[in-house]
Amino acid sequence: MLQCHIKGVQNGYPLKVEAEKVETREMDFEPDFLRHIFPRINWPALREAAAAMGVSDLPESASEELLEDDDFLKKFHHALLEVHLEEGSLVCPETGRKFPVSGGIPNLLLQEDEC
Amino acid sequence: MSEQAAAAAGPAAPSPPPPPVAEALPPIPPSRSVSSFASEAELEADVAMYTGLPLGSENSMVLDNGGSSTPEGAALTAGRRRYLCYFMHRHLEFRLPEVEALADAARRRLASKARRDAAGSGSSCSGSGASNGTAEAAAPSGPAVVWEKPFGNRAESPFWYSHLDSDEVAKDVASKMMLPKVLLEVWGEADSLEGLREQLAAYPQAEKDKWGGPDQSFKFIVEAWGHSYTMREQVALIESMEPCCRFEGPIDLKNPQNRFWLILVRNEVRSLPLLPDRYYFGREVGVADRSPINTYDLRRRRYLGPTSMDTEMAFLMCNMAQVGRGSLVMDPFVGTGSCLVPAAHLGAYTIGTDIDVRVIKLGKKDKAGRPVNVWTNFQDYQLPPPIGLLRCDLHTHPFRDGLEEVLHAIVCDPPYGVRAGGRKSVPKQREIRSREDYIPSTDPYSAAECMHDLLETAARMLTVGGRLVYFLPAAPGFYSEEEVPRHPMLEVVSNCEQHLTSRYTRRLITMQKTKPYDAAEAQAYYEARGPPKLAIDDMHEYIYKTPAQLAAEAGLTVEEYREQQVLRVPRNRGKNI
Repeated sequence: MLQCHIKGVQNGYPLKVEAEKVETREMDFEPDFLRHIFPRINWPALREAAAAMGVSDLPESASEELLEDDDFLKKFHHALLEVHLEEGSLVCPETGRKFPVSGGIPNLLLQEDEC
Repeated sequence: MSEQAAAAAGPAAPSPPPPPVAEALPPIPPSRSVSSFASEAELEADVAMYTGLPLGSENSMVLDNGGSSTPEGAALTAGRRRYLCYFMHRHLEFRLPEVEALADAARRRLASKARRDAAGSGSSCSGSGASNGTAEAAAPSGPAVVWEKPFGNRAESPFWYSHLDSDEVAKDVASKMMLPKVLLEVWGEADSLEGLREQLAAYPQAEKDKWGGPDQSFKFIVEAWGHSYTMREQVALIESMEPCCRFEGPIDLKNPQNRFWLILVRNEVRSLPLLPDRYYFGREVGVADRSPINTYDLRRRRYLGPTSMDTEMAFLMCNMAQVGRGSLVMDPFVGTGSCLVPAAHLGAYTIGTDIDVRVIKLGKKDKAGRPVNVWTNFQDYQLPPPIGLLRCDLHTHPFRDGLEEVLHAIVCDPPYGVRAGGRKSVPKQREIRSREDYIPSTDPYSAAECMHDLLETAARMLTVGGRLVYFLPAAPGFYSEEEVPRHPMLEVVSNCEQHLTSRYTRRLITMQKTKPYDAAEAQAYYEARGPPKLAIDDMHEYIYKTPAQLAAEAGLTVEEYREQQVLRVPRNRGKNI
């Protein structure tokens, strides 16, 4: 859902995930929430990010019909909410600028010459 | 007032020896008019003080006391059920908006559930789905709550009547409400105990049988407002009411199926509104659970900042924002996470962002030297952690272009520079040797700019119908209705003032997104309005000025100034917080 927001950058989305440490934590499964969020998700971007964090069981493409499939919802839920990037970085696809992630918190603050 | 302990007694119980206490019950004090306690002048002053008390909500539907029996009132309340909404005597301006927000959310949740059920039964078993279809046809309309003022049209009284869609809505409201204590189906209301007994005796037997059958356990609760009764007096009261009800079921003090409330308004406390004596009897439909206020008490939370939100207020904010199971809630000024803890408790997914790395990531050390931070605040309560914590800046935020209608609610306490100032990223020419460990500087962020960015983000990121809830600081002379921030996609739902000190108050503003984001319309609106400027940007100075400074400015001596200040203290201060 995030993009590189450095001023002047045209194509800052999607940020690439470079994972050093990934944590998995259990979250409550809420199908209605997943149905709400699905249309707002760029599927290839989520799939790529999940793959970078070691989750590779997401189908190549996904459509609204799949949201009735419990098995798919579980996978989507896991990739979206349960896998958490603890250490690593988010990399802008255009400039290569790395936004560090530490303690599970990405630092997306811009430096003075970027905003 | 303290809540009265519950007491119960019942019909000639078949249990072995009759309790000896029954013979020696104390007499019940007779009803009296309030003037025996306060002088005429005191009474008048009290009524005057509350005249025009703001109700918080921008468009409440309020009828006068007894207004539901006039033809217009009856049309408005047709098909609804009437409940006595007995409030805590706190945060008077927050009472109505909280119930309205909860009732509206409950109504929408039930409607979507009914739709799903209808769809489900339609596809699987088309034969038996007919009854569902008719139930759905009577979809409720109009405001979620039609209010009826308390007895004597005294708006400050905690005994409001609410007309809601159904018992189901009332129960849903009760499961989350913080300011109302209980919702009652009223069986009688009178100005004396004798009058109440008569009404209760005349209450339809068919209704009584529904809740007082031999297989239904019950309990009486005596609630005194403005005074207190001893346990034995309570038993005497219950014994005196009992013959009018004739319940046949067993008494169960621990887990009764039905609870009946006897509420006695007999004010003997001058700091409470001087209400006349009044007696209510009703069946409990839903009772508030305020235990989360204790569970999440800030005094026991390990990671706090100077502006962590008080737990009760944080719950009120989440209720105003209609946060519920499966909502996605963001706090762009997350700090120690105090606005998101109640959201997580209510079953929402949370996202927090903050510009200050010290707050959000590094945290502090607790007394035992263990590191504490936003994550541990959630762990300590075994709440699901935020799905995202980001360090970023609302002013130059990193959400992808075109990302809209994602969040159900934004709940926050923005930095205004009164107790903690805002910061933002700024463009500057500066040599940066190493990007990895460079610490960018930030500039002060004016309240006006901050509000602009917050509303703009809300207008984009909220779903239509989603809510933005935030505090706006105010002070006598620094607040004007026109300064409440506006946006073409957002509509103010409620505006409730909370008094903090005699010189400083704050207002909780609740806004709802009314239509999809339109960049051109928003742009045109801002151009027409000019650069953002708020008087509250100068508030820090005012609030922290010494009386000597203020007196000098007004050309008065300190004594004269102080005298004037006493008169300018917000009029309800001490009486409603």
